[in-house]
Amino acid sequence: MDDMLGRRRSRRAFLAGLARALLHGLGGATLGAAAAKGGRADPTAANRAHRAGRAATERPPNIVVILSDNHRWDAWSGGGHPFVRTPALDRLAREGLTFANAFATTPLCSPARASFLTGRYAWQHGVWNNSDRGRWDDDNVTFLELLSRAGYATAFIGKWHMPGSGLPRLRGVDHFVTFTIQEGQGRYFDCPLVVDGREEPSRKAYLPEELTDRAIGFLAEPRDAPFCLYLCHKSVHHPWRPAPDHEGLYADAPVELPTGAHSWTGFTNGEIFGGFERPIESAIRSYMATVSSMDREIGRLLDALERHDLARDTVVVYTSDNGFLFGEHGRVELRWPFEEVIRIPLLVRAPQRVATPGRRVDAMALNIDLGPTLLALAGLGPPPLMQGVSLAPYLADPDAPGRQAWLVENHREFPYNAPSYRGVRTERYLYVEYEGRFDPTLHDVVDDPRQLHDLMDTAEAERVVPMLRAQLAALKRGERLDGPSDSGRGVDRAG
Amino acid sequence: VPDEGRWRPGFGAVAAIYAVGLLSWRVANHGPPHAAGVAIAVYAAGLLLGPSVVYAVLRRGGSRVGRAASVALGIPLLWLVKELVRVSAVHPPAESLYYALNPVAVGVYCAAVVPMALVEVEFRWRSEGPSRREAVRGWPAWVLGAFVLLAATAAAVGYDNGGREIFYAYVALYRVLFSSGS
Repeated sequence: MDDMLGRRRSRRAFLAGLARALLHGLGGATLGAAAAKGGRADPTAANRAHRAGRAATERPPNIVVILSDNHRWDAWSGGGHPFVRTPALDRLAREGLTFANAFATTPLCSPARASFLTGRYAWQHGVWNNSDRGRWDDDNVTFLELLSRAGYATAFIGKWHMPGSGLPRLRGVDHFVTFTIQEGQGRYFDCPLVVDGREEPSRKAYLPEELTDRAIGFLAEPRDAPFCLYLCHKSVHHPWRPAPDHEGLYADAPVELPTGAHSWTGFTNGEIFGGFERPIESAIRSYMATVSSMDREIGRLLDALERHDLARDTVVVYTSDNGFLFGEHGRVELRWPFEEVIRIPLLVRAPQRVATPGRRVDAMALNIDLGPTLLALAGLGPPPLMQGVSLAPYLADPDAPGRQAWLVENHREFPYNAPSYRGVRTERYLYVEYEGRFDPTLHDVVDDPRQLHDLMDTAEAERVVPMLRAQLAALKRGERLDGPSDSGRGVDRAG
Repeated sequence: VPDEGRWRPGFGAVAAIYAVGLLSWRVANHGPPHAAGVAIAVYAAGLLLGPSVVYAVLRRGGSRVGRAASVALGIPLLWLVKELVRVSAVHPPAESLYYALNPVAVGVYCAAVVPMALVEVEFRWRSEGPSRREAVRGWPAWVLGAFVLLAATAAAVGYDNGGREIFYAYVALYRVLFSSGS
């Protein structure tokens, strides 16, 4: 196993590292701050038992995380989309768990990506938006670094795209393949790469195929130690470009626009920077074809795991940085605190660990939970800096209770329309306070999942807003409202 | 040549065209979806072709180029003010002013000036006085400049996959001007 300096690690070094990291995890972890009530399972305790029980006897699993870009939570066939076909994602869902209420704490590429890596909210990790507010700090601790310390071989392959001066010095990443052109967005065809600091041309014309090839090359390397592969696709960011043989894949598919949208919404109110230089219907068809092209590459990766006899020992996570508005609320953008934007797909396949494959988990899961979850599966605990919690307990019990509330935030980015805001999302409500000339908003996302009715001037708001403000204040202070809470649910309904 | 034109017809034309534009904008954003396409087309036509209409009215009324052009450009100017008010709801005033230089806005100015240039050519072609050949030879620099600018913009956008690099350059300059080093 190579470390960042190119040294080979021995099995003994791997085991010693694992032991050190395990001790660190058990001593310093702050998993699940709130206690379970009313006889419910305690995710924190379950986590601890899970770690203690497994680490002594089992080899930690390999880990593959596939992170896509702007992939809406409902834009896959298993998510109920009417025409897009995603057999690989469907397979992951069938063989694993679907987190049906997964969210991005900041619904924007760079901050969300940093949250996945660090387990922290944007106001903590410092990447506030894609370009001009805050920047990646090389002192940030990532789950890749912690896994590497525990002896994992690690690779980051794909889109980095965070503001800062050049590429980061990612501690604990043995193999780093990325791209820098177009402000780090890359391009779908003939994208030049940066491989471990050296510029290289792409060997395949289509970027998702190139990245998948490199990912398969990494996981196929012979090694004694477990590995963690972090594969970040450009797909499905605009300008949507499917693989050549998928061009026009959904050309005849009927597209139903959401309420309030029309074909030319992308040309109104400064939405032109959202990437719609054409009618929305055409853009949606291209988007969905690009989803299918990415899905095919994911299928290739899953097949490679089978082929190399790694599938049984490998946890596979599929998720995305944020969603996208296709005309909902008169916008074709992200960043805004709408369900279509903050919701993300989250699928976890963990052979021998998922008790009931094919189940769905309804508890709220966040991007900041990825790090703690992977570390828990590796038999480690997250450092105190991580603000998420492990989702590992749900593998055994999909009905385990979830968190009470969490912080959703955005930091304005020029020249886009979305203002800076912070809000609190509970199981029932989304309450948001904005900067600039915007009034607070309150939506009941259970009765009004499309957020068509702002409740701020209603009696319901008078009832629930004080408690939501208190929760928001607590979250702004860095407190966690992770644990299941009867009072939280009481607030949700009765105030 | 003395300027024999009057301001009032030009301002009246600007007000009328802009009023139609605002109405169509409202329909595009809040009207029935099936009317949105037509409304946006009307709005775009007012924004891009409206200045040339105003310009023609003033030139034929005896106004010189300076008066006709300055009044005609009131239409994209009003559009810009509306945009800046919208943008200033999110971004500070200085950054909102920088928004006026975004590639889409610059494209709008270019696209508005070129039809005016065509009107000027047509006006000189028909006008008495210099021969047609002299009229063509005497095209003012801004007329030629407008054509060149529009052609260059179209070529750059076409070459650049919809103008992405141009947009990134605009954002990079924004960072230099307004953010602290990131």
